[in-house]
Amino acid sequence: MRKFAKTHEWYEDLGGGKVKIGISKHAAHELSDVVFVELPEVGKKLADKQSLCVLESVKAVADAYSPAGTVVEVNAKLKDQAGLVNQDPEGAGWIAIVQLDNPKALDEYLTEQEYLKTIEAH
Amino acid sequence: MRETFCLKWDREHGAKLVDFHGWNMPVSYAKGILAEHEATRASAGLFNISHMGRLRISGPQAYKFCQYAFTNDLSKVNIGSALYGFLLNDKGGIIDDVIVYKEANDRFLWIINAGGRETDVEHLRRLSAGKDLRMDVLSDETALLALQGPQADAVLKRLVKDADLDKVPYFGFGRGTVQGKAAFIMATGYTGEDGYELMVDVKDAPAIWELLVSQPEVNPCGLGARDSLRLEAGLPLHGNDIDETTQPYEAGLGWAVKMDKEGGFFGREALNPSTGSGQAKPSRKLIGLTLEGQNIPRSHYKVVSEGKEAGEVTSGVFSPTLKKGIALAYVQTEFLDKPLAIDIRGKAVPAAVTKPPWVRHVTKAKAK
Repeated sequence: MRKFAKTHEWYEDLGGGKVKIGISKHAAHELSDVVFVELPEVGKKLADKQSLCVLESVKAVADAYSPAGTVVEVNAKLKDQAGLVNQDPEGAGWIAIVQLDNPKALDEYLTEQEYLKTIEAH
Repeated sequence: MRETFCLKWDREHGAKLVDFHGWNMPVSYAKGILAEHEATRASAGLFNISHMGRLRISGPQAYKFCQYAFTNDLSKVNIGSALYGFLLNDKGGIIDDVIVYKEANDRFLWIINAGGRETDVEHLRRLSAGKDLRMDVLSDETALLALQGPQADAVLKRLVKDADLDKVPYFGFGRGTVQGKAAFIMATGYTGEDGYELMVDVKDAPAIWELLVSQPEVNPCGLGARDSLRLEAGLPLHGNDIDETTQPYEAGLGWAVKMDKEGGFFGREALNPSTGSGQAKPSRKLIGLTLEGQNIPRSHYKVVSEGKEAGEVTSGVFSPTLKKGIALAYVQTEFLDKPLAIDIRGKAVPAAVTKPPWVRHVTKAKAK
């Protein structure tokens, strides 16, 4: 199941405390034209809600955040095809897989429905 | 928020809208900034820039007054041509950068920035108190469209049958009709491409917009592409690169200030009280910087040199043409011959000094 953060990331529970992370369609649309993704190193330890990576678009720069954990895999395709974040943000444009320090960390995040409501509110 | 004639069309065409100086304007349409930028460089882009201000100054003392209020020298320009220059405050700071079109010896059209739409007019009214002239604000009754790119000329020639656009040089203007509607046609722009800016009656604007945007070469563009295009062309943006606290010389724009013109101009004394000349070395300079790799400078990032703070980025963007980060930045003059870097999230990324423009394709006959 996917959870969403108010900061516009999605977290897909892969089991065993691993989560796949990307940014929401809404965030990708708002950011538009992502040209570089500054991917984290595999093995990087992240404190809770620390920046996982930086997304650079033509006009703006944004961070994607993660719960506490360790980066175990990154989407290397983004090195050459940052545009995948725009084309398919909730699929092929995923950013990284993180092994969570606390497997229950996703409990505090929003369901997709709850998340979509927070966007509508704006 | 204020609206232009185009807002309904914008909403129907996937515009991402932003507040720009109080105006509800598209930052891009459905295809996005990159596609719009590239389409303008490759073919033609159409921009609604009706948020900018338009003002006509006419009458017996119009010429003398315009000369006094404006830093460039209108005595050097023929009827049918325009000049870029500044409105300065009494400190020599740039209230606005403007283009003044000489329609007649006693009639001048001023195109001013959106942010100066009211304040510039107030400044001009104060300066002109008691003078024998008229000031007609045309900003609400007209619309302003920019058609820019290598195909802009061919497109407009197809639509304007009653004016010889080949006789309109870069920074010149003429009059014609589009679909039977009068248009003031200016060969100016803000993209580094050939092209035109059209001032039309606001009532005619929706139909002219529809006609232009339906031409196969033409792509609608928002302010995002306008910004990346102008930055590649090395053109300053008032409010970012120049403002009331910056003077033309430090911004590298001294060429549009004529210190010695007859009668002087408002703000002249402040430009350099020590020598009476605007040519003396300023303490900082606006320069172009280019970054290698996946590094994009943004406004307010610090410029550093060997660990010391050397300046600040005022405009930065990913250049879609060069596929590199480019920036305009103020750098203290003592660092100009030293290695420079831009601090991006704590990392000093080496920056090469580049004399703007990065991209300029203006080819129209008699181009300056």
